Amino acid sequence: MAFKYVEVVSLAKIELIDVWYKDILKGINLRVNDGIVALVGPNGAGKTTILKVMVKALKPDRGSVVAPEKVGSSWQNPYYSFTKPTVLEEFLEYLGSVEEVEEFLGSYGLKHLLNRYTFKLSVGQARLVSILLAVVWGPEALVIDEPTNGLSLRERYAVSRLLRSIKIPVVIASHDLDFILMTSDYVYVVNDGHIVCEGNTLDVFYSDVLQHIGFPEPEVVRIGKELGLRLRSVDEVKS
Amino acid sequence: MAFIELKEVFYRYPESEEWVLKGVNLSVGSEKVVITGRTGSGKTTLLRVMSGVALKVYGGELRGEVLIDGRVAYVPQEFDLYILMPTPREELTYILSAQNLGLNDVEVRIREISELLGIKELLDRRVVKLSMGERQRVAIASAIALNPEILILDEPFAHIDPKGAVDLVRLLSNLGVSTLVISEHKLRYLANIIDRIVVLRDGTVVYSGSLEGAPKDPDIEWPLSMLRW
Amino acid sequence: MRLRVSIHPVTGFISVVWVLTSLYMGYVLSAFVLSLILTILLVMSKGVKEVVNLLKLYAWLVIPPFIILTIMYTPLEALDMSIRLLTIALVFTNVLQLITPLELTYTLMRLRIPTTASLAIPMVIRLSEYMGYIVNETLIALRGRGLRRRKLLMSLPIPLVVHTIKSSTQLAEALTQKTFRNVNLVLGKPKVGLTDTLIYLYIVLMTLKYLLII
Repeated sequence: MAFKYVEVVSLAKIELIDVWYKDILKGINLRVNDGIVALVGPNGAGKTTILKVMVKALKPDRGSVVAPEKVGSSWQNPYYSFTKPTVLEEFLEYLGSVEEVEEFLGSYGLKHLLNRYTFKLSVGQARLVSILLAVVWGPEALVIDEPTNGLSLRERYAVSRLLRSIKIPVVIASHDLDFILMTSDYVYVVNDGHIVCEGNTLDVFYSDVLQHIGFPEPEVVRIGKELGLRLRSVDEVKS
Repeated sequence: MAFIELKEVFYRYPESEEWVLKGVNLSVGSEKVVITGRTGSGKTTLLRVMSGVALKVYGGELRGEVLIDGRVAYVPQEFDLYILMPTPREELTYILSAQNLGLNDVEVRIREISELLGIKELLDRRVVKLSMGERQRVAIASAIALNPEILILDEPFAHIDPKGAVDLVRLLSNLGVSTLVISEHKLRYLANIIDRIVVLRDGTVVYSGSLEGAPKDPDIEWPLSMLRW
Repeated sequence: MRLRVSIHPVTGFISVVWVLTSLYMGYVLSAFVLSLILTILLVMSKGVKEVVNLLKLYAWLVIPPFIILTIMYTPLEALDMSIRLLTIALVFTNVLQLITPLELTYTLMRLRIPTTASLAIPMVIRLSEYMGYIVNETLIALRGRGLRRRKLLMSLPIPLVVHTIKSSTQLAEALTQKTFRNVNLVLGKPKVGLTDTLIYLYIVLMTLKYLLII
């Protein structure tokens, strides 16, 4: 019998292998292939640090990181991404002509922001523009830190819609459970520098992992349980 | 008894034609009040006027009467630079030192406040290296150190996680400040501790009373248990 | 394990004066040794990594002059000048990092320097740390939209200026509530400790050595 030595090559777009960083990250293992992956956990758990390691802004003390050269990102304060007075000028740098910018913004339903002043946008609008800026230069993956901080309910829906229309893999760090529930496919629960649990969003949210780390149950899940229902994801329904 | 009273208050920022506050009538006594309204309704401006900071920092034009009786501490939504000293201990020391307390009293007070806010381990760390939740607690500790009778917080729940929110609510109910004014649109955590809700729309007060009776504006996050099925 | 190592502001001041005087009088080596002692104290207080980064910076300060001076004069003279440069740089920064701001403020207030000026020191430290934080965050955000190298540096000023202006209103809001007339700084009285004794011992011994040689 002939034996073949088969080398398993990681196809993951982004991968963290046993990453340690100071006293913040203590052996993080995670993989991102496609779709929208969320890092869920309390403030100070290390979510932002994990994102910074992914974009190579921080070098881990131990372990290795696999990530593409070009990773777009949008961070806690969306206004930090702005360098020009108007939204149009921001995108003109990348897209060449006013018509192309209009088309680009229009394809995400944001044509109305074309002539607005960047630093005068509301937080929600600034977040949307910041995400588009992170995407327009053609990166292979996108990383977003706390996209819903300071946003009203309506603005959160808009961000969720925007993220779901993006084709490249997205990693979100957030403590907004309802937002994660409607946006991401896969979840890593982060607490105190460790990955405590991972899995399909609904499975994780229906287990009591979140309560174990001190989070109250998402209201939608609580109501579902009270009514004796189990929420099903779109994929489950389709299959 | 400390109170703040606004009578027919109009306010606009300098170089602006539009009035942000358009005839606000509001009086706040010894109670916990939440001021809510959608983005752009003037919540932050109202808080700035109530704390006396509006004219001093932003200038602008104020019409009507503003009566502030009592020591006020106001923690803005962006609280990073609210903390003036490099470490929390230095910040608390600075503020307490200005109140003519002896050495022992200052140390006791620092211990009390840091236990109340859960920042005992953070006292000697650099503020710039703290996480946002920790910085918020330090900012509130700094406000408490001013020994205020009226504490005004602008959207304290905007940036914290659900666990921190639960802790913050517990903290706010144990603070021992006679008047608490919070501007928020995330009401689900506050339902049990507030005495009154004031709804602001387009620069005027459209409702003041109990949480149950308030008009349920869809842009505000009401506790789900409160919405009728 | 990091120990809280600090020196009394007056000790720091005396160290700086002694080092400069020794260099002036030609006792380069003993001055250099004191700055090394201070560096070791700094390592004990801040950890090796941070101090190594600082030393890398000083390499940039010292190596180019060394090369130029070796060409112009002799290697020995170049070494002498470089050590002098390094000693001065080390003693100033180490002393500044080993004094806690509150103790410095207290000392200045005791010297009758007005409250506002004395308290400005820790506030400036806070502000510069905050600006450093903003610069870092802005850089990361701008890299997140694909800006690199030259484009990155050229795009940096605008967001920084905007955020500095926003920060100034934040700062003003805080200062309206937190400026006081009499600040009776009860905490922050510096204590003379083991490290101070060590430094004074060294200074006294070295000074006696000079005098005996003379």
